[in-house]
Amino acid sequence: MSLKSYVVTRVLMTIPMIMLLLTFVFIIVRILPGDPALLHFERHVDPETLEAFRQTLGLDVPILQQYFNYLIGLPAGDFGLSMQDFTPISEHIVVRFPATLELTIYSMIYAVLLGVALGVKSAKNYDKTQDHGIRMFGIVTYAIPVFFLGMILQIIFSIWLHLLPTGTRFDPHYATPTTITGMYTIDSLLTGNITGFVVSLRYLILPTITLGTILCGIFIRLTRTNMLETLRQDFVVAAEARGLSSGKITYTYALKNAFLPILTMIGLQFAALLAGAVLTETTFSWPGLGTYLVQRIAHRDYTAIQGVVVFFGILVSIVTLILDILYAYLDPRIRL
Amino acid sequence: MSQQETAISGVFYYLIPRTGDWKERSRSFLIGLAVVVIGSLAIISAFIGLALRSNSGIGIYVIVYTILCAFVVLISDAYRKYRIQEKHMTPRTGWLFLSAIFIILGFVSVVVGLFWVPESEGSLSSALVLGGTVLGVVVILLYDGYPILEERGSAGYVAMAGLLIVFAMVYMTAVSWWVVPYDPRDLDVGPYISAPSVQFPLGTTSLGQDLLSRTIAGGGIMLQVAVLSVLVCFSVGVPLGLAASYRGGVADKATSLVMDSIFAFPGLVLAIAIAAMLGPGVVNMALAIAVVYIPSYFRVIRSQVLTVKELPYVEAAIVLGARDRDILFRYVLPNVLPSAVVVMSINFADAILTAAGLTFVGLGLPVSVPDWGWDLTFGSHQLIAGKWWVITYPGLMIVILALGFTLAGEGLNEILTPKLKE
Repeated sequence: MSLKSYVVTRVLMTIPMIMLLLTFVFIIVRILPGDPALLHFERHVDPETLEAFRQTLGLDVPILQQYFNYLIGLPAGDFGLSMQDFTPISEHIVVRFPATLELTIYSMIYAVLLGVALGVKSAKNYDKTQDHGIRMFGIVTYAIPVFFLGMILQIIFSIWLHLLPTGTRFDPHYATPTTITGMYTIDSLLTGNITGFVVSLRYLILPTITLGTILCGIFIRLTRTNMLETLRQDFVVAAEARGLSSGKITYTYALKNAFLPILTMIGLQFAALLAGAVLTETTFSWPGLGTYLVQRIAHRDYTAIQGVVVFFGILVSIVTLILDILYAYLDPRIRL
Repeated sequence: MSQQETAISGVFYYLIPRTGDWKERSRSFLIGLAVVVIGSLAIISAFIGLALRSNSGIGIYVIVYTILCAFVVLISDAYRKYRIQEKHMTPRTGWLFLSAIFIILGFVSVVVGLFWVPESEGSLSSALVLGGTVLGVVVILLYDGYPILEERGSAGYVAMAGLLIVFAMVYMTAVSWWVVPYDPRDLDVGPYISAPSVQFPLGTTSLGQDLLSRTIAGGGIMLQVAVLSVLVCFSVGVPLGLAASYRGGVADKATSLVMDSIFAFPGLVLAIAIAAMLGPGVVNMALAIAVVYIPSYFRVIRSQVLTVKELPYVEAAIVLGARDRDILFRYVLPNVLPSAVVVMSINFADAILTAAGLTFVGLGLPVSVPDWGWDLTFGSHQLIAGKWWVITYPGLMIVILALGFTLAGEGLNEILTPKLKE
């Protein structure tokens, strides 16, 4: 199969997946609890207000028509209106998503770097104390709730030691970087605002370490297994026999071959990353989409919850699709 | 090790060193014995100390009673092994004998709980049954399982460590209501957010609750949610995986597509959506978590069945005209079940972490119920004032419980699916 036809098949496969997901979320929000509008008000509300409320949100039409309105609206970026203040949810997403994206990108980089470094170290010291220690570290990080780790780091580094700031994304004493992408570190670099860059980076450190550490366990394990296999292969032995340094063999020869599965894992972990981001953001009051979701839960704002959940779902499907295509491009065997 | 030696000594077999001269051997034997005795004494005295402080005054009965149960189980298990060894019993009757002991102990517990202990409530009997049974299982695990797992090397130790952590937590939760110093539901038993002191060893919460009591009793909700959700996952995911992959065709493709789309979704976000709609409650939380983790069972079972289905003995059974039911349940299922057990163990850890996450975003249970997740959430508001104890202890308990399940899964994975071994 050529790359082109692989891409076409893969895209065609993603569409039913997204459709299923959309339907699933729609069923959960609109049909499962009965009437989301009544649930929102919790107690008795006079019928006129309820009727007006339903009309504004488009909840007064039959359920099937609601479903089609919802499906037709989505490609145009219509995620519905919030039950709380009737603002379009897409507006909130545009404002808040860059913060989430910034956090997830840095966390993923941190997780992959730490995971691969520890995994390689572990594989090189197979069955020694270091290997066991690193594996144990991987298991322990898996068992820590992400918000607990966040709180611990917060209390140590920001409350006791006063080393790093916490809460929100930026120091109110400085001017916020001009919005281009919405990601403060990139915006400040693009506008040449060095202070802004340093300040926003300082705010990013703790959330990034929190989220990245939770995720790195899976990369440690994956790198370790793959490196163990690769280091045993003939070309590594040949390189050793030719007297190449151990570092060069490990990092240039073996790691390159062990890296493809790690790339797939990055795609698979993207969903876990977003889920972790929701909790990390809440812990650090990071004004991203996750905090928005949690705030909406407290307000019983079901349409907003639906909008954010659908957005996350579509995002994950698209990222997975892109990474799959990238993977197929790098490794032609996948296309077979 | 011979069968004879396992039968008499169990875990204590390893106390007896077999190398070195007489002096060295006796010294290392004494050291081993001292470690075991001091360790058990420390644990027992900690529990008795707690029980003496307990508000109801019957904590001490509960502890002593469950320890007695453990001794009864230990002795009857040794007797069972001895009888099997001497061919007075078949293994089958041996297990029946042990089950009978458990049933009698359970019955006695109920009677004791209802009539003997003076100020007893009805639920005391259930604590005794639960506590006694759990401790009995721990004893049998150590006594029977330890030598077996020990032969598996480090994986065996890891699995055993995980299982012991889990059982210790379950035991603590089972007897918690009778050993806590204060009622964990009571507000204002002490000052608000006071630091750890003699009267309140772990400090108090911002509502004046005793944190030690809440830490001991707080595992109940997590364990209930985890057990319920894992049961639902297992009983939906495994049959679905079996049926879909064994039949193949359109049904298989369709089910896989549905499962894959759920699997690709950020788990916690989906659980949040479902839990927000269903409202608070243990069952609702468990259902929300279950939906998210069904695909992991489905996928593992499906890929296993697809491999097993091609094996010669299954093909032979088909050729011989065996019924589908027999092939599925007698040939395929036993070969795919170990993987499901491994998934289950990891799933427990995931369920606990997800339950904690749901509580953290405000979808948990009411304040009055002692729950680690809730204490952790509420403690996070006090964080900025540097009140570390409110989050540290409940958080550590969640970590330990999740770690227990993860270790058990890790160890069992290497033991039950040996092809992954290096």
